[in-house]
Amino acid sequence: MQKMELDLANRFTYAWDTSYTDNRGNTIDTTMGDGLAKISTVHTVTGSASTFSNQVAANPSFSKGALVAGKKLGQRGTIDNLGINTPFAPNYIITSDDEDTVLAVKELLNATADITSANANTYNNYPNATYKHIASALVCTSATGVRDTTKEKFWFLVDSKLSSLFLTVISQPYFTTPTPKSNGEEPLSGSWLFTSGADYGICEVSARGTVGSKGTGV
Amino acid sequence: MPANNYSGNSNTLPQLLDVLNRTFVPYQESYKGVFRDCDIVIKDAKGRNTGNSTLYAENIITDRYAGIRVDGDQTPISPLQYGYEKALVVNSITQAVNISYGLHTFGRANDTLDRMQMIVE
Repeated sequence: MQKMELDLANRFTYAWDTSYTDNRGNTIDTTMGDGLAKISTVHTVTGSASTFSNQVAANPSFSKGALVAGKKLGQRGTIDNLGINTPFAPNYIITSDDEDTVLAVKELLNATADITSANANTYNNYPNATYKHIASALVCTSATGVRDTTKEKFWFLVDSKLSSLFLTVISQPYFTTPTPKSNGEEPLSGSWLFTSGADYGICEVSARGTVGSKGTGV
Repeated sequence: MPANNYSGNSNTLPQLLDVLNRTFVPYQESYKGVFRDCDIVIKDAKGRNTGNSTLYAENIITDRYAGIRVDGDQTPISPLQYGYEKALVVNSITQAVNISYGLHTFGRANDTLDRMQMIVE
């Protein structure tokens, strides 16, 4: 289960990469259908010469201004395969558990006043219902389980209606045990061997509906 | 995990299996993955013996806006546009833990259980 979660989170951890190497040395393809990384400034479409970017300009760290910039980018840049603008209404904010980033998101979503306003009781444009916030340490955890501090500031806006991130499962997690007969030992070593596993795959067809920023300011 | 209240004092295999059966199944059934269970991830079950790959494609689209038809003219036929495709490959993801003879004979029960818990989760 943890591996499945890590694999899904790594789609965001490696959003700027076209592949990564997992904890067993296998190369995991993270390209979209257009052959580019999830976050790219030059995503292509099949029926038009138009391209679109889903990287927030200058990779700002999360703030109200950065959120506005990200949403505008999605609204202006999201196009279908004929190059026609597609509505973009993000309902998820995905971040790591980096405290600065998490606090910035929480302040924005929970404020009773516009957080940049000096006036009390100003209407909050971002009540909790607007966005679901996923703050997971796995977003900045590499495929080998190492925390990558260069990815702690990553943040993404995702419109789940446009998402094409598929998880296909043939076998749900299972657990196999030795049989109690003869107390289950391997004859030569006397060991008990327990195995857990699952059969699944992950792929993403299009980056449409996701915008992202590294949060590094560059 | 409920296994934390395990207080067995013997590392017999039946005793371990009993603990695991009481913990693994309920744990998996009640598990809520932050990513797995969010709307962003589209869950698609696949049957056994149906191959290890599935080709996913974007919807075929057409121009979403209709236009004025001048009287007497034919309605222009909008193009059908295919999108990108991406093949998903299912992998077998597994992990094993070896409870050596020394561990299950001389070791403490909780040491054994700690190792088991790691792969259960």
